[in-house]
Amino acid sequence: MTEKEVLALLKDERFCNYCLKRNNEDIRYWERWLEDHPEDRPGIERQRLLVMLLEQATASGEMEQQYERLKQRIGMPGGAHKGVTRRLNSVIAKWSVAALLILTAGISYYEYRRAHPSLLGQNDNVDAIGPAVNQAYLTLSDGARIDLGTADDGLLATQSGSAVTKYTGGKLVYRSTGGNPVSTVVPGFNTLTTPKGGLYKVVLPDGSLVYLNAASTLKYPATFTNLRERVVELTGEAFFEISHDPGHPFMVKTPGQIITDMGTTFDVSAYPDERQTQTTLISGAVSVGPARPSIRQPAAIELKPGQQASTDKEGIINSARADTSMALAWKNGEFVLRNTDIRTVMREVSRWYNIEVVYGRGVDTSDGLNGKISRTIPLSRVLEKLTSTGFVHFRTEGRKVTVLQ
Amino acid sequence: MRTDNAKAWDDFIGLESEEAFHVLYTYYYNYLTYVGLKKKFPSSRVKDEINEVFLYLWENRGKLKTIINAHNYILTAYLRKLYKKDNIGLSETSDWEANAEFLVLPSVETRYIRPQMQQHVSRILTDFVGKLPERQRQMIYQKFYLGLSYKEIATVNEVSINTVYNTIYKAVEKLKHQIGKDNLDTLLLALILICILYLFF
Repeated sequence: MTEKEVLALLKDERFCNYCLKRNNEDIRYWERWLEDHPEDRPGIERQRLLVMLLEQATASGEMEQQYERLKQRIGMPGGAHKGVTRRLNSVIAKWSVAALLILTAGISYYEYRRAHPSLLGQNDNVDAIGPAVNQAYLTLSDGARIDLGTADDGLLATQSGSAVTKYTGGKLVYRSTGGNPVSTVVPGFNTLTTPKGGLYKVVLPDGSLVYLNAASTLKYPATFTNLRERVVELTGEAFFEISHDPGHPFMVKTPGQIITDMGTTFDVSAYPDERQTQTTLISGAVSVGPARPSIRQPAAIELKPGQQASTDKEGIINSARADTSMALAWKNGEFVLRNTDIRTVMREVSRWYNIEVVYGRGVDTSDGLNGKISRTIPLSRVLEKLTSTGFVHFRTEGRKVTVLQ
Repeated sequence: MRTDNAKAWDDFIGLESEEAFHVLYTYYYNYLTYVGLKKKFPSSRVKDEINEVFLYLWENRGKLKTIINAHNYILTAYLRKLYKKDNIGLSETSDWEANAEFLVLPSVETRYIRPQMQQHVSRILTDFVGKLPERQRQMIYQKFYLGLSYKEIATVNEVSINTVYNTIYKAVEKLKHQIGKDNLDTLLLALILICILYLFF
């Protein structure tokens, strides 16, 4: 038996049982087999030993790692508790405290307004803080910057043989002018940036459609001809609908992940202030690789539709079933909360409404909130809905929102 | 093994001993993982809920003095979290015990391997497992330690059977090259001697 054949025995469940001395029948079978093939005994014994070594080492490795994680959670102040379910006593306690707070807040608010009548107008602006609108800045390959919010519709520029046209409804379209891009081997890059509170769509030169969320930047070549791969760079979040072109894979580079696909729809969330980079596949197939391959994450993994790949700060990629309604909530005009803590919610709200968020003292940010809130309504209504959970309430001054217990 | 756990539970509840807590965790980690995976819950869920149960135990250790059957308590709490049901009766939990009894109990040899290993082989092994990506180590643990079938492992990790097989194949092959034939043979000899001694005494 060759070395490869011995290794291939691992596929046989009965052989594995023999290695681990599990099933008497299987043990007898293989003992007999070895008696008939004594020349293979050394190779098989070595393999059995390897299996035993791995059995032990991985078991203690798994257990100890999970124990470490548990210890960290236990060590945290207050003991992080993931569930939303709270015991009755603490609910009553919290409500009584909340009631007191509202009372005192009401009194001091009244005093405050009496003392500062000029700020009456300021507070009314809360209703005026509306959801994200189509707004973005386009930087051309020569560095020129166009404010798409104020630019006129129509042809804006020609870049590396592509006509760049602004359409109504927040869409930018690249289309080849038909003429051969001159021997310029390297096409120029354009950058589309949305500010906080901004949204935009761009149709890339190959027909792929990208929806850009707020506070995001997409850098891409102005034309894909002469390029073997279609590579774009993203920070922030975008939803991709990619045109199929098997000869020219489409790649999205983010600081944490590199996503390669052939013709699919997927969402990539790569905000610098979020803990993880996440790619959620809706249809088709993508492979997600580390931005910097390392020993712990040497290779890319493939996603199936409905799966999500998350990369943590150490570059380890994990894939899991995705909650697609949550990943695409921004595109569907909603905030979807599934056991989401208030800080994560407020980061999204802050990007969408272009506000600054600060936290008052003693705000318990570990509780999980559940629910769906529309994104197309004014900020004040969103804050109302969050307040109705009883976990937090807010104070607004202009574009600054303070989260209070 | 069960009486060791009974003592650990007493120490944990009565003395709030972290060491005893760790002993319980060491046993129940494998046991609960086995139970959960056999029920085809995804690996990630199983891992999360085990820690949720033990987090709960730690946070409420002051209130658990009246628990008579700690094993049933832990198992029931775990199953409730997995199924998200609040009405799992005791009769359901006794079925689990019957199924899971065969688990664990590594063979005599594995108990003696580690001490017999030379320093450098032990280090190679520790390094190797330490550098394994979490997914790979998880699958190897499930196949070799828990004894799940390839199909079961594929289901709970949500990958194809081929992926599982390839992962395990590659890991064994890589470890074989890193440790080397000579070291393996030396270790095998040492084990055989131990077994002979064990048989005689």
